[in-house]
Amino acid sequence: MISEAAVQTVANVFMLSAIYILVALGFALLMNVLGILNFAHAAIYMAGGYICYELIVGAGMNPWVSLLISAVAIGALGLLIERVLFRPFLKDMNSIVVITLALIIILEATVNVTVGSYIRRIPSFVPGVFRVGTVSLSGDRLATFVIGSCLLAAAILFIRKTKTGTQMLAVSQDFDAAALQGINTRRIFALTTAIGCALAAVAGSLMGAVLSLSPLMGDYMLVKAIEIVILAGIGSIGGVLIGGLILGLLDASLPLFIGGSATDLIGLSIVIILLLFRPQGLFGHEA
Amino acid sequence: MKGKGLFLMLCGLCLIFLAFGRSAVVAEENVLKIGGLYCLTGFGSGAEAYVAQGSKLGEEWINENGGVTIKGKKVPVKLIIEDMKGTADGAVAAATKLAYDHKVKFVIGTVVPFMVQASGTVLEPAKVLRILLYNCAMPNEYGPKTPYAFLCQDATVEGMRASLQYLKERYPQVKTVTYIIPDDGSVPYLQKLFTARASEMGLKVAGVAKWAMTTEDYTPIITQVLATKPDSIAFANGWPQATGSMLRITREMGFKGPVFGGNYDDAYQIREIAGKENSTDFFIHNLDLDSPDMTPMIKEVTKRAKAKYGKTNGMYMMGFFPWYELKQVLEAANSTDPTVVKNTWEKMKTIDTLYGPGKMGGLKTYGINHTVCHPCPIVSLTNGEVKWVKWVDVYSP
Repeated sequence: MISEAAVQTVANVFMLSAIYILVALGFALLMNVLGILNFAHAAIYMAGGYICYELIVGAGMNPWVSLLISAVAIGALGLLIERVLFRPFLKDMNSIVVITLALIIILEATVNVTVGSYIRRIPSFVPGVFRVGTVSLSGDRLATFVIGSCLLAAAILFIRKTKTGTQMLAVSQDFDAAALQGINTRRIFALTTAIGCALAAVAGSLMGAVLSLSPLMGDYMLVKAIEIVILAGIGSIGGVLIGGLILGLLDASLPLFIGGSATDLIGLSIVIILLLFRPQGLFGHEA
Repeated sequence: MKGKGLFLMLCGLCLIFLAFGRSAVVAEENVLKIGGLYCLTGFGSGAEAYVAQGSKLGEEWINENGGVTIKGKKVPVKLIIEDMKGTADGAVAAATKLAYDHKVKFVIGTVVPFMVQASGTVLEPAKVLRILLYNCAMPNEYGPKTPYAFLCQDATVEGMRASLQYLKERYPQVKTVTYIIPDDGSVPYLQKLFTARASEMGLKVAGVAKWAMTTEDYTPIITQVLATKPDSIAFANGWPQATGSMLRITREMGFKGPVFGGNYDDAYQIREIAGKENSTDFFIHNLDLDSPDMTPMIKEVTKRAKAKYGKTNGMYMMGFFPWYELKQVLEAANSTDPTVVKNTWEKMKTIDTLYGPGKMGGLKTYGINHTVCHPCPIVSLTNGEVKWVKWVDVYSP
């Protein structure tokens, strides 16, 4: 009996880690490249989910096509947000934080009032359950694992191996110096925001199928994203993998032993203890 | 001349003001203000927005006949809603506004335990009579420490009692049950009461699992639950997102036994979240508004909701419920003094409810005789369809 639960828990760790990594990726990108603590990530993630839902259920479109359209639409929204809300305050990060807080309130309230707070779920992208021995995994969770892994790998490769990615690294290290080197920093800012928002939309759409869809669905996930980025360390996209695994391990295994709110308490305590020993995060650079 | 004209005009204006102003004051004094504590935004707003709408239907229903009859006179009621914003701070702020700004003496609401407790810290010392819509058996939430709180309908303990009764009837082969309870502070109290209820039914408790209110993925909790190898699984409390998610994961992980809720919840939302393919052998408390088994008052409220809001929702009943009883107790007390009403209500043996005849109880279970127990409606999810099952009589001594 215990071994069945243990085996299932190992699977749960990887599935939950993939969920957290997928949710945190867009947030990590903006944080690591632009230094923006984008609290609006929660609302953008939610908005992506709702657009996907309306395309699938309202317009009867194919789920995968809907997911792509949602990502593109929210990416475009990201361009608008960057141009109108972030760019005027590039030198003042405190103002940007306040703007992102306002954005989350506006977006969530708008959806709450217009669409309503009735809990929905996006129809499955991969229907069915896959069983391997005693382990059961839903198709949507497996899809999330695969897509989350691919997107993380793609993000790491993009940042490290492409010209644009290198430029993003340069901007993250020193904005003014990057500009002096001839890098179009405004273009980098816009692209990073668009990609971050698109990733949030993908996460929101998949989570709308794996979990559920509601105007406040992003709030607790934002906390997880922040924990992962802090654990990983500022400046490290690859560290998101380890941060996600640590959090997934804690959240998937602790309920077996303690359960309830103590799970959150112990999980956060472990994160804080790790940071006490390594304040820059596991893979971040010391100031 | 000019000055005289101005003087006369000013006098006239003063007289008009005194006439209408006095009327407004007199009108205000003739109205019984009833506070409403609901989450219109934030946590819980998904359901409570509908509850608040149901409450407005209750206000209108009373005022259609001129109001409540006190000492031979009709006294209209006025609902004043304050938004708790889904937080304890919000609940305190809203309760404070109701008690001290609006000076209400009666408050309807609320549901979620931490908000009930938070609002109670303001309303109990102010001797405002509260009509709670739910409770989770915590002493600071409801009991001897809250003498001005009444529970107007079946809550966790009564609901679970009804569910266990039906479980034995429908699934006689079931011998064990594992409970899943949200970790909102109620776990030690509910665990004790649920174990006692299960034992009364000849059932053994295989395990108790709890989940944090911040849980997004319930897979680890269900993994823990299934490790206890229960014949059945009971969700003590929750809301559609949690219940639907847990039902889905339970079925995806291969559990075939009955799964049930001990609380009121929207079976349609649960089905949407769980998926039709996973929505079977599940039951919970709710109404089938199209069933002929509904009481005349349920049909009346449904008709009013369709007329006003263009739709029906079981949560409207939750909002209307307390008004139906408030009218009875106010008229029985023949007073709008909350202490007089409290003393009258706790001496009553029976009271009519939307769901049929109710009995006052709770002294042995909660330490205070302030609980209205009434028939409990059960709906099931069977092969993806929501079906009306029956009413189950229940009483908490």
